[in-house]
Amino acid sequence: MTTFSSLLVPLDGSPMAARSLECAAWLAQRLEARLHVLTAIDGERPPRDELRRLRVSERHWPHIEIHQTSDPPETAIIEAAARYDVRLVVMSARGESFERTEHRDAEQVVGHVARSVIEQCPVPVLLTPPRYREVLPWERLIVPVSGAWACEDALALAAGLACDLDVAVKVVHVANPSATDEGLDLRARYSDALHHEYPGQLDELVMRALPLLPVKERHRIQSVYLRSGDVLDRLLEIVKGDRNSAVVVGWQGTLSSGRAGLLKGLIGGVASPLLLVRRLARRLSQLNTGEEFE
Amino acid sequence: MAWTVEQEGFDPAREHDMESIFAIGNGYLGVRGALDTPLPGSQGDLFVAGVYDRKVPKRPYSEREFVAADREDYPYSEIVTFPFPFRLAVTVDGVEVGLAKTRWLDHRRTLDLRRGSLCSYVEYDIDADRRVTIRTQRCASLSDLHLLLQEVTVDLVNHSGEVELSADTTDPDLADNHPHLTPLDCGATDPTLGLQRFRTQASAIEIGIASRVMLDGATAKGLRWRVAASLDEPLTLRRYVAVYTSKDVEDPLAAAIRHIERMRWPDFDDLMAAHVERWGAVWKRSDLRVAGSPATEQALRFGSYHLVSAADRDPRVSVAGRALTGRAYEGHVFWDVEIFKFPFYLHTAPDVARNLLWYRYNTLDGARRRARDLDCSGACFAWESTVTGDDVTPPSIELKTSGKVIPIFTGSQQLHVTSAVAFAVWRYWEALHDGELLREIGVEILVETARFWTSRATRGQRHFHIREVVGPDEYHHSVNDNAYTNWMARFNLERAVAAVAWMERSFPKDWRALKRRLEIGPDEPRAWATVARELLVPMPNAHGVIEQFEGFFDLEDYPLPREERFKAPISRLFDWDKINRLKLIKQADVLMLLFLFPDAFPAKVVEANYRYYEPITDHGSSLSPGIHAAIAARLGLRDDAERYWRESLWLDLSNGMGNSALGIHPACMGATWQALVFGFLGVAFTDEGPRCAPDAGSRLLPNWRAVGLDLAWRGRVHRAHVAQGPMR
Repeated sequence: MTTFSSLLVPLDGSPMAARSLECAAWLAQRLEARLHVLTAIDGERPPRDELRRLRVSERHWPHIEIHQTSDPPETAIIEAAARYDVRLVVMSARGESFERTEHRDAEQVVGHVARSVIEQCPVPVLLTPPRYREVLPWERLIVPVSGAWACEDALALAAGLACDLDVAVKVVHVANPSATDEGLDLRARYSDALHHEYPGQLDELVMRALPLLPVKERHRIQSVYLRSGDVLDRLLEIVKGDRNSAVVVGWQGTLSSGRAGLLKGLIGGVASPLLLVRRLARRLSQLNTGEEFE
Repeated sequence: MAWTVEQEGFDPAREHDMESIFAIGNGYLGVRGALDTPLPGSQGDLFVAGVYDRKVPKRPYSEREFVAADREDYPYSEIVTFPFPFRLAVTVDGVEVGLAKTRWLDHRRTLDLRRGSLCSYVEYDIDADRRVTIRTQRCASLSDLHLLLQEVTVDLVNHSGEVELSADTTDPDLADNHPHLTPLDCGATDPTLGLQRFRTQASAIEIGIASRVMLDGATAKGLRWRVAASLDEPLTLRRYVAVYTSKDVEDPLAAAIRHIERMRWPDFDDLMAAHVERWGAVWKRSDLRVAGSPATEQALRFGSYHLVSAADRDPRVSVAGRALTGRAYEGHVFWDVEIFKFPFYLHTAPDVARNLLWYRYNTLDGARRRARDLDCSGACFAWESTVTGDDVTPPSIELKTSGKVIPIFTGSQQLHVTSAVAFAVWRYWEALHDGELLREIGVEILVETARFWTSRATRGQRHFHIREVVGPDEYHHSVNDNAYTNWMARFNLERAVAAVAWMERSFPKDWRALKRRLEIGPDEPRAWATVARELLVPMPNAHGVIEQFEGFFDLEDYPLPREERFKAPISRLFDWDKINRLKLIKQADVLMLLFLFPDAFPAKVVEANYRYYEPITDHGSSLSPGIHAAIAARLGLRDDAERYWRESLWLDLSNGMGNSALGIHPACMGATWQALVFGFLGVAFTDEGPRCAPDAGSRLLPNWRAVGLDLAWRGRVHRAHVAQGPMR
């Protein structure tokens, strides 16, 4: 079984949403996955009519299972994902309703439907960003790693997906000298010999994401980039220089105002699709040492 | 808790950390503490001390970005890893169990420090009707250095069923996981034995690994069993693994087979008992007791455990940067052996200390080559050493994706490793009065290193100078007259003069032979004495502060942010040239002198230097906190002493350390031990034995009621005991 055996594409008839369908159809074909299309309308239409309204190319029709609903789109998408055992939602960052919205927050790079799905849907979301330019097939998955758990989950998923798609994984770590979160900067405590320690740290940033992956999947990681400076600027440089790619981003939290700045910056800045992987819940271990155990 | 370190639960992302912490070893063999049923990404490496091979390009992911120059030709560039020798697969009623595969209720992994063994317990909940527990223990025998032992007990808790066990250690991904190894044919042999035979690619070292595995009450058919198991009738498996290399014997596999082929079921108990007894003897001479703080005792014992596990009595090997617990530092040997680890061995296991000096003697030819490469005479020990003593430090590294080249100055400029070896020779002499070692190898080391310093020093108008060096603070390169380097060089030169005089007097015949062999000219010792006398050794200024090197006081001030302490931001690597111009240091440098020579400076000077250098040190090295703790303790700066002590003591055990996944930090453990002994207790040695500082009681941390330990000195074991006293 492949990483994503079942895909769901919510469409609203807008051209932006329709572009995500092209990407999803390509993925579904490469992964031999089922392809569900969800549309929220009042009443029910003949499937062909609805697919035509949704701007779905006729060549995809035979491969699509269409579902129509009158529920609010965000709720319907999350429910459909559960109902059809969907493993990946593919959608555009903005849909028809975004274009109709008059008052937009300056940092609002995704519409409210996409935001709800990104924040609440338990499966990864492949987002076609506002500046999306379709370049298929993908040749690489670019995975930023920071040392945070969410990035590890994203890298593990990317390695498996790369194996399914027969593409390479490019890992990027940007060390931000002024950052205070996890990452090479923080992990590299006690760098007794810098030329040993930083390569070792970089290895471990990658390796700790892959404890459960077989060698075949680990082999997909073919390049590891280390950069220093502003994380968003460096990532945008790298992604823009690699057109045949998708970006796999691990994240957690919400997209509310003032949060997830890096993710919003990426969504707003790149033309490649973004596969958003939310941090998985995990059981932790502890070492019974130190004075608290006395 | 003071005798165990226990992990509760399981987090795959922390497995590499745990594998380092729970590593077992006996100085000859080291095995990372991977799960008995390992994950696909486990690094359950087996290391054999002294087995190195040429660097394999693109082996770790980092090699796709960091390219080290000039590493291709040397056949002993990095330590070799071998497949996990305790690998086990357990299947219950057709379901393969494992922490990443099966629902589990409880998992504990426990390092039993007293017994030198690693135990684990896991309870699986296969489904509503089937639960199974697996208990394991393993050790690297301290009484038989070629032997590893493992015992596994599988217990079906609430049902009867079929259990399959496989003890096959064949790594299907050998080329990826252990690329130095070429598998060799093992020939026709007993099918009940597990055999592996490898040869390393460039160094052509052959390794034979033989294992005998037995399941209680079952007939062996290869290394797999399928048995009916009943409720409350646990299955127990025992495995004996023997490892030999062609460095030990001509036919390593044959030796390994001979070692285990006659081992039977009950032998396990005797072998384990012998191992535990040896650990008992180890603890008798190296245990530390801290009344009032079990957590401190636990962490100190954890450090001693790893230091003991790291060192063998083989004079061809030393203790690598991460011992035999990880691939980091590629198994290279640094100056920290002599300055940070050596005192632990010297005062708890002098025979190990002796062999560490023999390792340096056995690499003296490499040191001579390095001196010649530096256009000097004598011997300059490698900054990074493996087998031959040739330096394996790369001259630069390149970041491939950006083309940025970062020069590495340590290989050509960090010369103080040479005087560190001489210092250790002298300390050994002082501690044991072992004229035999001094006569056999010590004087030769001192002579050749003195020759090096004499040729490396350049004469100025009034003084000799040592220019273009890197001191312990590695943020500054190409500096002149580094106080630490020059002081230690002078120590080296003076002791060489004293040593040849002693040999001439005590062993005139041997001296004549040595003089002839090394072509020591009649004026040479006098020349060493002249350089020692006239070498510029920076002294305290009007404020009592010793300038770290010429011009240090004039460097640009750098207000060190609090968040940059206890770590080395990557800008230290990227902006190496900018850092070189700042008043920011990586680790104790001048303070090393004050630490190593406590009687050389009045307390006022020690305090002035501590006050000056401590705020500008970012402690980018694990060697730094222990030294600061020691000096702060001597000065009665209790808060500082405690802060640095805690950093050093729990470096590997604290959850936030960040890089123990790559291997534990034995030099930090040695620094911690020294911080306690020479800092808090203020131990000094007299002809009668060790004496604690008169005010040692007032230096103890508040929750320490008393500290006690034993110290070896001149053939006897002396007990040191300090009780908490009133604060100064």
